[in-house]
Amino acid sequence: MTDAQQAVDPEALDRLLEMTGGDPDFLAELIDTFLEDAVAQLEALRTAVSAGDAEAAIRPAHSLKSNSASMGADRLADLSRALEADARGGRIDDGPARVDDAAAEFEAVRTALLAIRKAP
Amino acid sequence: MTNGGRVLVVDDERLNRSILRAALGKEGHDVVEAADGREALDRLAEGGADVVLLDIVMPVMDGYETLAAIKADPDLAHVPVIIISGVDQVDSVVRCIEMGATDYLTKPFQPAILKARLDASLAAKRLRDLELEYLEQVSRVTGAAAALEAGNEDLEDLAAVATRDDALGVLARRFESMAREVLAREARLREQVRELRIEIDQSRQARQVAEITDTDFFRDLRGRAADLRRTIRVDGTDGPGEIGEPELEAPG
Repeated sequence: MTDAQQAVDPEALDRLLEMTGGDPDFLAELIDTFLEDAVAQLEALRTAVSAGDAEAAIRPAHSLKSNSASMGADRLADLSRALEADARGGRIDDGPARVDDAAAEFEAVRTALLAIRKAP
Repeated sequence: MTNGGRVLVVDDERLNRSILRAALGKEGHDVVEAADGREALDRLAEGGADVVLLDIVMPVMDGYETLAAIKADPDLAHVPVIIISGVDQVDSVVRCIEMGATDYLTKPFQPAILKARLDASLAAKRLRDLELEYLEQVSRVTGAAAALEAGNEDLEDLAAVATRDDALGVLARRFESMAREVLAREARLREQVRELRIEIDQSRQARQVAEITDTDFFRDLRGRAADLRRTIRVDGTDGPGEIGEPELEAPG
């Protein structure tokens, strides 16, 4: 499920690279930004669901969903989307476990992105 | 192909701003960034924008509030706003379109679709800018006509309009030419009136002199003065008075 090979859609990254001018260094910058921000978003999400604060969980879930989709991390985007939707509906009883799932998926995404970043 | 425009990207996520900056810069657009709605309004107040790309979920001031503020401002209401949001719910799309958004794209956006909608929005904005400029210049021509009617001879406001190469430019040039003819004619008439006034004043003075010199009293006085001068010449004296003036009596 958290296979690094499938965590990131390489075609999505190719499209992103082409759209932004074809500069691999710039793509590396985007990867760094994504990884850095995702850590903060997962942390904010975990804090919110641990406190039972559905309202506070909406923004980090929304941001993680949006950024993951932009980087081709579709499964992480789906997990975040579901978390956001449930947070909007005030349903975060199983939030901590689902944040754990998202964090595990994020590790797979990180591995895949770092491999792409280092590729010649 | 639309030339590049000034695009304001409003998104709290720096990743999205970076992606949009690079993608739009590649298409020749000048990109300005804002991390929330309040910053966006500040950027718009500083230098405006041809198009706004607006996220919905943001801190401080969200996309709905920002869109409402833009559309409520007469100076900004005509700026096209394209929503680019991770919120893909139909009610959000409907709400934004009803509030005046030009379009609604969901993240991650398709570059070709963004380009097409951005180009269409830029073309619409430029057309609107031309309309506004046209209306402003029409108002300059009508303003100059009103000012001329009120006696103001300053036609400088027409200079920019007169350089246009369309029908409005022809109208402005024709109006300017006619106005200058009218002003020159007025100046000539004023000079003629001034000269006539001088003539009238001179005639009036001559008439007033005549009113005095044409009286029997004045003629009698002149005769007595002549007699006195003759008497002085014959006697070799100054006559009855020291200064040779006759003693005059008022007429009857």
